[in-house]
Amino acid sequence: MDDCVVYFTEDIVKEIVLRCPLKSLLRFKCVRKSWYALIKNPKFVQQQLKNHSSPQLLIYTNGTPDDPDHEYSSITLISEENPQTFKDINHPRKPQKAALSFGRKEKEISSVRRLIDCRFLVKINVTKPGNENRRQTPRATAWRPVWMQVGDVPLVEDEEILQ
Amino acid sequence: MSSSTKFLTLKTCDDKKFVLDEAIAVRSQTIKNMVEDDCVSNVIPLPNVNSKTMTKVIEYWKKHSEEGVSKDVLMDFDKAFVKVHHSILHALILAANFLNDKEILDMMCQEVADRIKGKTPEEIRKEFDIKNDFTPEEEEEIRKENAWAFE
Repeated sequence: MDDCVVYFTEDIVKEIVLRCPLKSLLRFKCVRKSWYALIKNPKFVQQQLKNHSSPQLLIYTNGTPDDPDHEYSSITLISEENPQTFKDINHPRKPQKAALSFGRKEKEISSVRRLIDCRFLVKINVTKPGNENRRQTPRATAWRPVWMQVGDVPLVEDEEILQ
Repeated sequence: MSSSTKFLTLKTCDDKKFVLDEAIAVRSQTIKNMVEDDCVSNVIPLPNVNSKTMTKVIEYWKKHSEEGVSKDVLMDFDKAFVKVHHSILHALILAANFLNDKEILDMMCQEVADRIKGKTPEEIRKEFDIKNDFTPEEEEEIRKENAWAFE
């Protein structure tokens, strides 16, 4: 084994980390404070999403990370052109009546948890209208990562992670 | 006036010299700028790059400068090119960064990302010789927040 250790500059670390998938990034947040700051940086998140064939529109929560009450105060939709407020989700710990088009089915979001700035974990109520299978009682799915989009565009799931 | 092939001499930090067609060497933006600014004397010193690494870089430059090479051949070449020990990989990243060759830098960063993406924070710290500067409580808090990523 070659023991020579190479010290990368922050720029190079960023270039490498940018190319990692979401789930790795969340783990890497506790590598070191500088990695934590990097991965939470909204600019970094946007760039990372771009690299991973992301939607053009993203949702992001306002609030400062160090504020214990920061969570979920509001959600802002940002596009590459200009940021605009999309929808307030006041306290997603309480279930939200936010029905979003998901594939061809309407799904109700039962709760939302912030992941990193633009991404969310949501629990979605699974009910399939018109397809009353006795096994399918309405229930919330496990937390699943999503990127939200506006209008008719379905939620985008990071399928890689769901496996 | 047609210019005949011009050669540049690159000198690595371990004092090895590489004579290279200028047209190939300017794949490095750093060297290109030097050539354009006319500040190239006889020898271009590369104080941050050793000969072992430079040999790899030149191997890449030459392959990607060959005429009539199919995309498939280049893809296979690239695939083989990144399969190196991590110390060489890291050295190549530093060299590509210094030489300002975005193509090699991108490819190598992607390779490192692919290698580390499944690792735990502990393994990452070991790999990059990073000191953990979180308190155990802070780390625990972050882990809790992102518990599903550790599953």
